[in-house]
Amino acid sequence: MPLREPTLSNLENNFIVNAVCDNRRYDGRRITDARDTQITLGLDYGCCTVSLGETKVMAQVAVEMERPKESRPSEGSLHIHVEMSTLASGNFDASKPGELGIEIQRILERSIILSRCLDLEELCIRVGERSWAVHLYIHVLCYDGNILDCASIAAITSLKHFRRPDITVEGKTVLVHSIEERNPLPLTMHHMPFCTTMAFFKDSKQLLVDPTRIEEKVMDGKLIISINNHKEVCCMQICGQVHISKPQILHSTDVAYLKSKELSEFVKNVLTDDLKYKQNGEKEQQVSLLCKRNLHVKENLMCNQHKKENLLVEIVNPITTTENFASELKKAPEWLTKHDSKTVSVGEGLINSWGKVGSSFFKSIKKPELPNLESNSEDENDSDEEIITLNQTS
Amino acid sequence: MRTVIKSSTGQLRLNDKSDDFYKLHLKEGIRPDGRMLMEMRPMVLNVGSISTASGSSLVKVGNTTVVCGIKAELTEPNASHPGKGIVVPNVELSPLCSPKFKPGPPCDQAQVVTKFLDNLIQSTNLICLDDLCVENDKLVWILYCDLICIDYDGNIVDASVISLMAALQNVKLPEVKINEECESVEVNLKCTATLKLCSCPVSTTFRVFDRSNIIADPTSMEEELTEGQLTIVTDQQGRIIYMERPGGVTLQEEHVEKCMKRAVIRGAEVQTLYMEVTG
Amino acid sequence: MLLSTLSEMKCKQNVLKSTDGSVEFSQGDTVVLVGAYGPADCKESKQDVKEAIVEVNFRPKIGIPGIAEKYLEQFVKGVCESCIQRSLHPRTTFSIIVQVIQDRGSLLSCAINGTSMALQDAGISMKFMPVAVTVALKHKEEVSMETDCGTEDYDVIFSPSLEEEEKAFANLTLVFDSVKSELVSTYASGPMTSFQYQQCLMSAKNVSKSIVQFFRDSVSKKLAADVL
Repeated sequence: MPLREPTLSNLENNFIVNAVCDNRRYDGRRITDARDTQITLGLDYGCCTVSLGETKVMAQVAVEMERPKESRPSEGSLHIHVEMSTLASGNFDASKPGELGIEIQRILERSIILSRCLDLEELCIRVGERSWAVHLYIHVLCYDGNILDCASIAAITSLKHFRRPDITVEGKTVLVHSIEERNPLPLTMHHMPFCTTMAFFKDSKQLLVDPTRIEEKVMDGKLIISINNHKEVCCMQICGQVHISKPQILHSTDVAYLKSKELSEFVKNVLTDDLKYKQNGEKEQQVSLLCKRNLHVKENLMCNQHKKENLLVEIVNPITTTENFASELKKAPEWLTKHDSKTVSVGEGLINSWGKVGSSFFKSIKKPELPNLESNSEDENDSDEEIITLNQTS
Repeated sequence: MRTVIKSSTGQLRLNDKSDDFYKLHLKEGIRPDGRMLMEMRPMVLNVGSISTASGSSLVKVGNTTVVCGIKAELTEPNASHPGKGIVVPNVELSPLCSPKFKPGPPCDQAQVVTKFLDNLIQSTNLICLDDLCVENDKLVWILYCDLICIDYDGNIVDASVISLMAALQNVKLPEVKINEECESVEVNLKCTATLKLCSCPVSTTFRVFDRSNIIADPTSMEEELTEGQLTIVTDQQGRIIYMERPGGVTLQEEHVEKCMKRAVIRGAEVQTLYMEVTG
Repeated sequence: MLLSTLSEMKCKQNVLKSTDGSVEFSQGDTVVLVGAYGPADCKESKQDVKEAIVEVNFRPKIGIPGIAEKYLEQFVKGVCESCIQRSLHPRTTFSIIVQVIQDRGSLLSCAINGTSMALQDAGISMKFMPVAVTVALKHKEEVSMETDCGTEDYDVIFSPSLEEEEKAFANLTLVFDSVKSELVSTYASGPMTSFQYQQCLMSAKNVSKSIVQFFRDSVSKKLAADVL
């Protein structure tokens, strides 16, 4: 259905830029502040929903067995799929990822796959024959700027949270154990790279961390830095019309590192808490980081839960005594016509085009002859002949 | 009889008058083609129509014509189900059968009917998939069931189900052995066996016109005038094995019951047809 | 008199900023996120001069949407087409996106209930609100001692989990309208007698009334939150 992307008026545009010049932002954040981050973990392994302000992303990890690549016979593989659902924004087309989707997918691939943060060798089952392929699905649910940072948090959390089924290799056969049979195993991760997006304004002199959708529209360009908790830069990209000086890049890297460190602590805490929650039998866990505003109180009010006492259901027996249809079954159709051993027809009323051709023929074989057809095989030959005559008349 | 106008947007649609035309008929309890409301169109069933296929059938329900050909091939089983054969139904609605279908990838309706048949096969355990296994984890039968509509005049679901069932009953699989020594597959074409089917479903489709008039076996025109169909699939014992109504006008319980009753009677009729052709 | 339980429902409205109406709906452990747009602009080739068209997009969590999703889409679409007052908005489109967040059984009914609330959240005028109930019929594992209470050898389970759905001999999803409690849409599979079907139909009909009440409560809670 793609809707049109709403345009920004000059007034709005100037408002944002002027605010940025005064080191202020329209939503009250400081220039280096990211929005509130919230991670929700569900029951499924490797699934999490991350929201960054209003931007919302769901990630899900899945594995399947495949034959390893010939160039790397002793390694599994990791694939990232970014799905830009129409949910996220009316102007996204669900069938194709679009420019934005491709950009996000490429940067995530560079930041996660190429930085080799996931141990791929561990995913090999039999060299050159079987290995695990890990698929990471990123579903963008709501777009309010900076999908990438949100997606990178979701990606790392879900990879960390995921458990793959245990296997036993006996000779050439591979036995996959279900989760009930044996404890599933986590994936090994060497480090946790997180992306930080910084928007540049006013001839690249002003910098904003975590731009919203409106800020993204106004900005001149952006710098994306993916950095891990060991202060190693995994990926860096500059887009748009910006000229960034060396000290600015170094400064940005420091900002990105601080954020990355904070996030990796947060993700680790969330995951250890999740284990505890799971042991206590809780079903859902929701943790927020840097919750400064009083948003969540309102949210809880809006969430309605079914009252326990309403859950009891009574099974009603139908009052109308539905008669058993078995008696109907015995009735054979009265107007069945058998043309030859392989063709039968049923029905009366209107005659279809087949009937029109051989309407005289239809009359020739009627119900009384049916028993004979079944009991005597010679009669079948007769009917075959009649089919031929039908063809001749047509 | 069919009045079609072209709207400004280039879409083919039925004239408003056809709606009134229909209502006048229904008032008299009859349909424009002379049928009563719950009456089915005549049906012709022919099996073994395609000699190159492992099993085949041709069904005509009124003017709706569906050909089903089943091709049996040997293949490696799915890693997750090493001891089970595979059945793949596929329904094709090409521009050949009606101008409302366009060339290209399968349309929504074709996909929905395909999934319907797939659900039917799966949920009723129609074919015992273990029987289709030649050797565990090595060789199984895969049955490609291709259904092609050559003339579309409504009620594709019923025609597809009957044609698929008749074709499945018609399937003859040759005996296959694996020669352990030279690891080759030997196929004995002389010794064939028919498929064992666990049940014999028959589907009946209804449409509701103006909230209270239920019509059975709708034609293409009737499908355009109404919304949402009710399909009931019954087996030889008269039980309901599948039921589907994706939406449309709301139904009262007695309507559902009426349809169920009609479906069971229809089921019995078609069962006899199956019996006649398979012997 | 037999009793059974319905799984707990949760409904969080207005969760996505970008959509006209959105709902995170959970039924037991099954969670879906539904977003609705509309009435919105429509491509000329798809326009209908008399009424609005409905597009439904069902998105699985893993992999790309296939025919299984198309099949579920057709139910959601059929239900929406019959509940939305489409003739009020000719030449427009209503777009509904259902994203599966967690599938633990009764997915179809959860999706339809979610859609119903999302349409409501978007303020789309409807003739009624569709209410869906999933029922499974399962053979009793052991014949209970009290055989005199009835000759039935099966259990009726409401909102079954995935496991229960697999073990059950019959699965039904029934959709009712909130005004007259008439049947809008139905899906049933598995061998069952018409008596069993009618039994499920009648029981589900009663359940649907309590779900309508739940919908009402959700809406009033949302409005109360807006006022605060």
